Amino acid sequence: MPIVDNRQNSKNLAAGSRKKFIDRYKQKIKKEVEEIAKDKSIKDIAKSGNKVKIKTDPLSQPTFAKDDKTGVHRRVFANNKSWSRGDKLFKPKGGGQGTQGSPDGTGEDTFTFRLTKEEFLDLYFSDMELPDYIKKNLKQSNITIRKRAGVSPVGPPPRLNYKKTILQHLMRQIATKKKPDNSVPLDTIDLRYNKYNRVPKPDKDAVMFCVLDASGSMGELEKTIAKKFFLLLYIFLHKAHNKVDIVFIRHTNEAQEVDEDTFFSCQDTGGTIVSTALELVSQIIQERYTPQTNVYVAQASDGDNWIEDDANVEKLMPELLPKLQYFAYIQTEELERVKTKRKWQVQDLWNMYERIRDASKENILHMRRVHEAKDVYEVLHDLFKKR
Amino acid sequence: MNKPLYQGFEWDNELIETLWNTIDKIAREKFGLSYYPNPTIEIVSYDQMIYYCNNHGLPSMYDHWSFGLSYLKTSKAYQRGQHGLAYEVIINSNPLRAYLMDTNSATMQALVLAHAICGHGHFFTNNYLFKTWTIADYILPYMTFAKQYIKGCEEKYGNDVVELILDAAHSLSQFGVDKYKRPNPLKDEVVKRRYEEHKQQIENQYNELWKDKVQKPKSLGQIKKELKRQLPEENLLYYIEKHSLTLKPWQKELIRIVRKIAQYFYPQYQTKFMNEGFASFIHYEIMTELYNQGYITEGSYLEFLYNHTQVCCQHGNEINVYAVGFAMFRDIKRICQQPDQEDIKMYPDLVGKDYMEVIRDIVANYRDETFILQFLSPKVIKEYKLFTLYDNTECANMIIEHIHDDTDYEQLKKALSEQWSHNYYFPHIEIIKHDSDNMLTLAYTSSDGAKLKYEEAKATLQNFIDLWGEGCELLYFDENGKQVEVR
Repeated sequence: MPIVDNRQNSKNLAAGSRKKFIDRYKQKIKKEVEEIAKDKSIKDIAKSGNKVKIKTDPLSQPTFAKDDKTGVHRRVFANNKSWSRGDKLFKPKGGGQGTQGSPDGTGEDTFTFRLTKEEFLDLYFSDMELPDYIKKNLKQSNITIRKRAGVSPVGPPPRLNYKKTILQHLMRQIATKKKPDNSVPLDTIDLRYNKYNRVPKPDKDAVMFCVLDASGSMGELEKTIAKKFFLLLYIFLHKAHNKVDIVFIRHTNEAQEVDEDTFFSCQDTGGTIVSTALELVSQIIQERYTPQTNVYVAQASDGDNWIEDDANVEKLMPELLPKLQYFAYIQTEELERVKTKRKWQVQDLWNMYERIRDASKENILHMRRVHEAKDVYEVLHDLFKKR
Repeated sequence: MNKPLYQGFEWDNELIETLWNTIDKIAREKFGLSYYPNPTIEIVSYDQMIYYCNNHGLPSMYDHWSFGLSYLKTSKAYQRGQHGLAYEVIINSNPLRAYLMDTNSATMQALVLAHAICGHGHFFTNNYLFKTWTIADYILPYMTFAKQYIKGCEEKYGNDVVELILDAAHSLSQFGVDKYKRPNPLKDEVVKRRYEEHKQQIENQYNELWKDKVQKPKSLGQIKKELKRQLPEENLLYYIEKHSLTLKPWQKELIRIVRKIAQYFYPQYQTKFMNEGFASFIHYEIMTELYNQGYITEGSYLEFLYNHTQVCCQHGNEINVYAVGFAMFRDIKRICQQPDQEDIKMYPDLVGKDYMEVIRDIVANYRDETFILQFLSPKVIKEYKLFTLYDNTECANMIIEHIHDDTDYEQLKKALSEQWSHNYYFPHIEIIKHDSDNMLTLAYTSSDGAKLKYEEAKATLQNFIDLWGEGCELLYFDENGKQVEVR
């Protein structure tokens, strides 16, 4: 008798149906997902097994069914302990032994189940995208690379493929003489050369600059908010666009390109000179990327800048913006601090960026204020909403 | 005396083969069972078992969100320990296909082979309902076709449109089965005869006084169309598929798929009680025979008995079909072999017969309703202390109507038999009228005064209307044929 063992192969048989279920209740599940994400730390939301509770519409699987609260019912049971014929049983209000539901009952109102990490992130980021990505994508990429593409009977001597040639020779011998001896000499028709094709180079065609103000004026809360924002952005980019390069830049009174770990964890502080960061961004764009690349910048700051640097920033921004597809600026500020800001400090990055934004014709610079860690999620969604 | 085939818990594929060959021989030779030859066994993990349980074992079921939901619910319930996972699933196909969980012990695997393949397999192969309604040879290829066809429609016309139709068809799937074979196609003589009758009727109604108001006779074509519809029609999906003027061919095919699958499962609902009772009885007989012939050790036999009594135990008041079904077949065996005075009076035809011959005959020719009506013996009723609870929803009390004594025996049998008839759970709904605007009239006839769940019925009727494409109405009739209020 045939014995079949498919345990290794068919890992997730119900995957198609499960996906359809999630799609159908997408709106509801998504809302739940956002609620959950608000309260959890980033590490947690990137884990698997998040519990989601949704209300499944009880009428979504209706059928013709008898209403067991009407009519006359007769049902046989077992294990009669002590009753006699004619005994009366009092019916408790709202059901009891007499009411029998039909076997196809439509089930509960709410339903809890667990999402996998992919499903969770998919849903969470499902309405986000990198803006204006399409525009630059449509432009032709001129860079090509060579790729192996089999063998060909013609070619230059350095590309001769010895193995394939001998093989061909052997095959010809067997076909003509029925046994491979060397009486049939190697001939030009046996020769085989390696073939190459030119294909367009799969380039990382987008880059996101993450600019973090790591100065002393950024308090604990501001730093936490900024880090949360960048972490989420990072996960989003990795999920949705794995061809996006990410450049991390920390600045105090000097700007430095750093790696991911240092960006998120380094502790040192200093003064605030924003223009150094902007200069570094410009420089890296020029050195490493072509005009074909989609360049995005996300900056997080508390708005304070060294007052003499303001003029520099005001000059650099309008030069930088045209090179970008999108500039997202979030200003993190504790509500309490905003109230106690002194008059001369009101002139901060926010106001300056506002002026620059209003003055420019292109819709590149976008700004949001963030007061609490909870708001980060909404703000991120808002900045990168699908249009 | 033979040597035991195995000791303890472990098994491998070779042992499964050996076990099967032994069990197969016993089943065929000693018990005269017959099932589709060369069954396939699939070893599955618990995860896969949950999937197969939800699909009644059919691999390649088409994707639908409702299956996703029920899969999630079942996994959750299983993980919470709310109910044990079935340790066997078998599908009615030729060749048979049974699933064994990889965590079963060797004894359990033997039990599954006996229960599923010899028991259920024989039932599927021989019972008249299955032979009439299921396409065992073609079900697996048909499922593959269905899945591909649906996927194709999704790609061509979009997921949403396909989902709408499937949703509507699913909600009507229990009302999309044929219970009786359709009559032969309409013969011309029948049409002509009906036409003549109709014309005669109109002429007889002719009255000089009212000649301006006379009804115009219908044409031959109209008569033919009416007769073709063969109203009243119980199979709602069938009617939509055959007579809709708005559905496109691919939409009709989707409806057809849903109703074909419902039809395939229809016999299983009609024979659940019998099938489980029979399979339990067979596994008991086979495992005992294996022990008697020395193929399994005493320890394994005890393991089996422990498991068997767990499954076939009647706890509480809700009837356990395994327990009572098993008891009924066991009692039939007793009546054949050791009848007492009461048995000779009640079942004279069984006394002295070969019990397996009797049982094979029962399996072939009865279904739950008729099986219980004929073979529920007073001894089984007494053993399980069966009783009937009568509940008139308008009264404040419920009444114990019948108990397990001799006076009530006939009534109790009838009551339990009705409980396993199709009408007990599924309301009787049929299409009774199809008028000239293409409006359909459906009728629900209640047998016990019960009304339909209102909101659900409204939503389901809407599904029906969506599929039909024109307006429809649903009327309610009580058991006397009088039309009643809907709520």
